[in-house]
Amino acid sequence: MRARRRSSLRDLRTAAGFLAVVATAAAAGALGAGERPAARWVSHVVPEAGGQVTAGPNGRPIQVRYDGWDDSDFSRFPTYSHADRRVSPPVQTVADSIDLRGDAARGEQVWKRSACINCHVVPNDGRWAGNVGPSLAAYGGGVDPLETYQVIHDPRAVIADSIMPPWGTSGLLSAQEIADVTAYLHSDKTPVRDGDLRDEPASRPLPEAYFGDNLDSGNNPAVLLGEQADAAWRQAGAAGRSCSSCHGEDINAAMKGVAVKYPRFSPRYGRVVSIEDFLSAHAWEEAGTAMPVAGDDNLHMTVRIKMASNGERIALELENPDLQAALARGQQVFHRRVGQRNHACADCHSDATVGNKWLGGRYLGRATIEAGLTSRYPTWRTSFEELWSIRKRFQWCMLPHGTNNLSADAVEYAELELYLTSFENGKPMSVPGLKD
Amino acid sequence: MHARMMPTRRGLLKKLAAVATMPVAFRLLGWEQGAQAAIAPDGVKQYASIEEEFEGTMLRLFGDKTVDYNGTVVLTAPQMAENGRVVPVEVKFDYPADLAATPFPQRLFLIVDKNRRPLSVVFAFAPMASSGYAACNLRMGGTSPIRAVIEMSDGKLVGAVKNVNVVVGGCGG
Amino acid sequence: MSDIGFVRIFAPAKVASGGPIRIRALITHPMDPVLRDAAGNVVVKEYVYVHTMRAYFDGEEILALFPGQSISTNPLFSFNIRVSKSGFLKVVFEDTAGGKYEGEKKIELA
Repeated sequence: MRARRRSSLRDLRTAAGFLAVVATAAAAGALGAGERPAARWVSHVVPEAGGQVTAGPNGRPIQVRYDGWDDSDFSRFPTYSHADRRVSPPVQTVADSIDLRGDAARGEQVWKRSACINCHVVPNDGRWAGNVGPSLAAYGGGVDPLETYQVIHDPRAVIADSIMPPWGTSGLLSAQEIADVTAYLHSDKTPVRDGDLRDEPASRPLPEAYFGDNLDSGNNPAVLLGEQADAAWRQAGAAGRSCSSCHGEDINAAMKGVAVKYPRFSPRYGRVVSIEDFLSAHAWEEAGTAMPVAGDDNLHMTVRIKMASNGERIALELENPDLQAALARGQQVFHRRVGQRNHACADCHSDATVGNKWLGGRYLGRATIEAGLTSRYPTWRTSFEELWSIRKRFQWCMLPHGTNNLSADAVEYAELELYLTSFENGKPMSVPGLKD
Repeated sequence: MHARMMPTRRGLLKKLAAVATMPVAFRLLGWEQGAQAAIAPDGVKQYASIEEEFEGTMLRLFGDKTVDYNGTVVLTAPQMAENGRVVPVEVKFDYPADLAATPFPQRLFLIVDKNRRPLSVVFAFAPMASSGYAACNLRMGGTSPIRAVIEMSDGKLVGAVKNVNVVVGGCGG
Repeated sequence: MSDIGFVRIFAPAKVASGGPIRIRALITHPMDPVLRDAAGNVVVKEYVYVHTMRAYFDGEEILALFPGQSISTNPLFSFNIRVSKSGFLKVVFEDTAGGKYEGEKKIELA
């Protein structure tokens, strides 16, 4: 960004703001070229991305989420918030005297409406089975049903570092449902259909990229959306200024090499910011233009700014000690267990864990931190016919975890994004992406 | 696909309302105004995409003619499609070097056997455009064979078929 | 670009005479399929989709195609043509709501 040393009168309005300005001016050497005095982070996020929990239409609590998304409230379970100190629920060991009477036919119904097939093969299910966990095709003989019950209720009692959710401890399945599934798993199951790829994850060909060149506007509608932002660049906001007023008419010249530094630690806001985060504050402060995070204007402008750096190598400011500390926090977020399912990102998204396995019909090996997760975000998602930022992708993942979203501009998400991006440091930017 | 997998429905209805009230925009250049369409003038009706069984589609389009799957038509599509909304398919086929030669490939039918509407698109070529290539993105309701049938100008049918797995699953996708 | 009816034609900058060249024609369009609920019943039946595309080279019709709702959103159609002279390629899309959208591109012989 062009160097500007103009102080904002807004910062001087409050005592805290004044002190912050004075303190920061005293430490002016710590400010990078173009960095302005310190300011509080004010969240500008569209309502559906804000994470608000409220009363739903029939009085039950819901979390406000995007149009068409499940709105269940998961307040009972740990979130990714740094302020949320809750940990995974303690391991529950089932009593020997537990009532194991269950109905196999009912158990099959429970199986069919649950997510078990995503990790375990049960033949002839009809859905795409995964192999994250062992195949249950021949399960039953020689296993004590009490142990089966225990593993479903809380696998951690049997396998210390299991990533399988504790269905009973979390209240996802009732005692009767677990007894029914136990009966089902101990019943005779039809054999695997030979040659049916739904039942044989190991026989499947690995997926290949087939959507074509992500930077080709014929293939990728998101390129057209990025091009749309050219007009917004020149549009004056309430303060009478446009982006071009300060940065010049030519976006490519102004923004070349900028996005590759992001996420970066902003001394002004005292936190890690992505382009989306920064735009929401910067456009408002400088131009009086509302560009809330997760709104279309913000998303399209983010794409356009990143396009100006396409081909340039991602270059995080890793020598910055504040960024290093944030990176460490991001790593903690990546490994933290949250939600109803007691999952961490690391469980699925790293080569070290299940990176070469299939989760349902989806091969995880293409979705690990080592494979690279952020260099093409924002990305067009063909399965939704929408352009998604990485924050929306995080928020989507919260649903199967069974944990409430944080706001799309939450610092926890920013630090997580930083951690993921660090694995692609040095790789060329190629935005917008194009994926399923 | 669940209803909630189409989160833009509200947005789409807004767009539909806008289209319905939008004046039709015409930019005519003199030469084709009022001219009868030269190629497949009744194509919209003749090649309508209808909800029917696959056998009904084949009967409606081809009667009792058989398709010769003789290897001259090459159909490319992903073996494992990650979702059914965008499945790129590509068809390559033989054509005579001489623009005036007959027979030439005159129609290309793309059929997804197990879709509710198996007939997906029909290309109708004049010789100049029948130059051996066509491609587009299809929607698939689930795992299904995809079929490309070329109808030559003399009525002969050649084709290719390929099974495409539409995978589902994972943690909500 | 608008949500519906933005047309873009992709063609090589300069072409050799005679040989087939790749043309792609894009239109932004929802290609509205029917929306069904979990039971399979139709919930929304407002079909607005592109039903015809016609391509002309210097006024002569060279291609017609007839898509249905099994074509993806924002249809992109690719095909090869053989030209022996420079000229204008024009495509016209029509949809079920009466919309008519067109685009044009000069094809230049090297």
